[in-house]
Amino acid sequence: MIELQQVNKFFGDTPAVLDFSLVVEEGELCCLIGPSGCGKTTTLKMINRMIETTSGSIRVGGRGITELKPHELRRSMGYVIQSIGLFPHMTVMENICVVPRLFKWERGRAKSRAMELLELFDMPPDRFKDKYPRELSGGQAQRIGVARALAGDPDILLMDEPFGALDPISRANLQRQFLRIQSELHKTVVFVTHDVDEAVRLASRIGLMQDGRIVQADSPERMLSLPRNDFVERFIGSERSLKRLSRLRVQDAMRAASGSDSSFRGVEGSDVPASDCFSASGNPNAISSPHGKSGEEDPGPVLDSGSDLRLALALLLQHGRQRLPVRDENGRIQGELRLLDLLGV
Amino acid sequence: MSVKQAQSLGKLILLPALFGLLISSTSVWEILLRPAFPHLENLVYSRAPLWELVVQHANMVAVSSTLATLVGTGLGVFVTRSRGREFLPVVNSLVSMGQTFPPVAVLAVSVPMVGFGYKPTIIALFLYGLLPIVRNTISGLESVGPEIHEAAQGMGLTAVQTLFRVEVPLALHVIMAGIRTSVVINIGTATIGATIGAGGLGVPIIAGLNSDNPAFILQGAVLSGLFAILVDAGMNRAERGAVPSAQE
Ligand SMILES: Nc1ncnc2c1ncn2[C@@H]1O[C@H](COP(=O)(O)OP(=O)(O)O)[C@@H](O)[C@H]1O
Ligand SMILES: [Mg+2]
Repeated sequence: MIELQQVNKFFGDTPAVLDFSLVVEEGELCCLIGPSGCGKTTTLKMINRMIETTSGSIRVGGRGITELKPHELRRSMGYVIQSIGLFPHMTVMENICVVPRLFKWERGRAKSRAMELLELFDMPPDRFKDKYPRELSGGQAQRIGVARALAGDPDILLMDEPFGALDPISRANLQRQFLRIQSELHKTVVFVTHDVDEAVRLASRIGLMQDGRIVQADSPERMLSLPRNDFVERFIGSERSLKRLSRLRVQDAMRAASGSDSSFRGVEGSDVPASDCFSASGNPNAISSPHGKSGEEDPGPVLDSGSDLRLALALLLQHGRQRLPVRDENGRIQGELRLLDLLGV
Repeated sequence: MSVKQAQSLGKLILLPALFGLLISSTSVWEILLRPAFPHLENLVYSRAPLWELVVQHANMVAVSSTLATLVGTGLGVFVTRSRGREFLPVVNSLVSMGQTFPPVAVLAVSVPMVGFGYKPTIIALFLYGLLPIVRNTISGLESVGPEIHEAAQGMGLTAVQTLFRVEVPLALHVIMAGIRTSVVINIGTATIGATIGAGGLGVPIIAGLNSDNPAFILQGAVLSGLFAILVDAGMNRAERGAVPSAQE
């Protein structure tokens, strides 16, 4: 748990953070968002004392952060930055093992921890462990950046626009992967971003800042449906309802299949290969086309029950459909999602 | 065999062999120089054996360069720490000014202070050799990006750990280049030690100038040149052996 109480920071006479109070509960992923220069980075760096507060108190796990030496405090927290900062003279393995080495773990333990993390980030250790940072793509390098921050198994992770420099596709991939990993590890995360979509997708709570102050701290749902003032509303933007859809999953809005009289479309000719959609035990009803029109018109893709409703809506519109079939993680058709149902969520 | 391999073979085997031959045998000089100077009476400098002059020369260079390396890297590290950063501009301008200062002038300044012989030569060589080392240490350490510093600090490395585990390894290649430059310059410059009685390979050069004997001058010049090339190649090789990843 991280508690900031009435924290102020002045650079000379210039205020950067003002009367900032926020509690980040254990296991929570709290996003700090706000326009550039509003004090997000300063706030984050005060938590690991890379910047000292001017006044106010910060407690981590119940203890004041000034009770430890700064470098000891920092070793107990992971720290990830946009520019990554992998050490160019060290291999991927050596980069990940920096903090374990500071902790004087024995070599075998540090190594197996690094292997475990590489696996967690879908980077086969045999392929990646001996590579140098310059041999990695931006997305791969940032994965290693996050893995390195997790290496010492800290309870807390501080991240400053970690995916900000990546192209949209790698960013989306990393967000998804990070969400999955976070759902396994339950770290207490403070995640700085200026991207509302990213915050809405990732956060369990969002703290919106303006001119060094926190304007609203709420769950993404509440922030989207009950913006406290004009600034919040403007910052979140005009696509509030779309953003809300990105918090919801297809399975929350779909209609379950009912027996054999299903009217779901088949998938022949769709851009999703059939082998991808159906396991060997797949429902044969779903494969056949009940209207016998297959091949005459685009049958449309099959939605994954776990993907978000914003993507589903995009697919419905893109293919001009009123409805699309939904499959579960085994590829079995589970039901369908109707365009009209999205109006109700 | 590629050109590169041929060159490295030359540096590794042929040059040392040639150098060894030239400092141990006077007859080689006879063979090489006699056709050029058929009427010269004393063809090979003989008041001291050439190998002894090489030892004196190497001694001056080793002592002054070791001192210059210790002080130079130390100074470079100091002015790039937060405590010493205020001195960085001063040191930077001293370094660039110092390089326009001829070594003979340093010698002229230090003789009145410490007298003739070995000591003022060491002081002059040390001061002159300091410059490239300080300059490269600073530029090597300054080339480590701010994101590297931020990551190191954020991970909980102390300042000393950051210096030795991150900054020095990243700057090592540039620092080593500065040390090599310094040593090579010093090998050439050490010949001026002979003018104030410090010995070394400058001795035959001075003797040749005084007695109008170009063969003596050639001996001193060729040997100190070869010596510089050999030491440079040796240091280059040692560095590559020690830090394989610093190349590329
Ligand atoms: N080291 C510093 N010295 C002086 N002013 C600073 C320093 N760091 C940040 N600031 C100022 O503090 C304010 C907040 O900066 P920052 O926390 O980096 O904003 P954000 O991360 O939200 O973009 C800005 O006005 C910035 O110019
Ligand atoms: Mg920032």
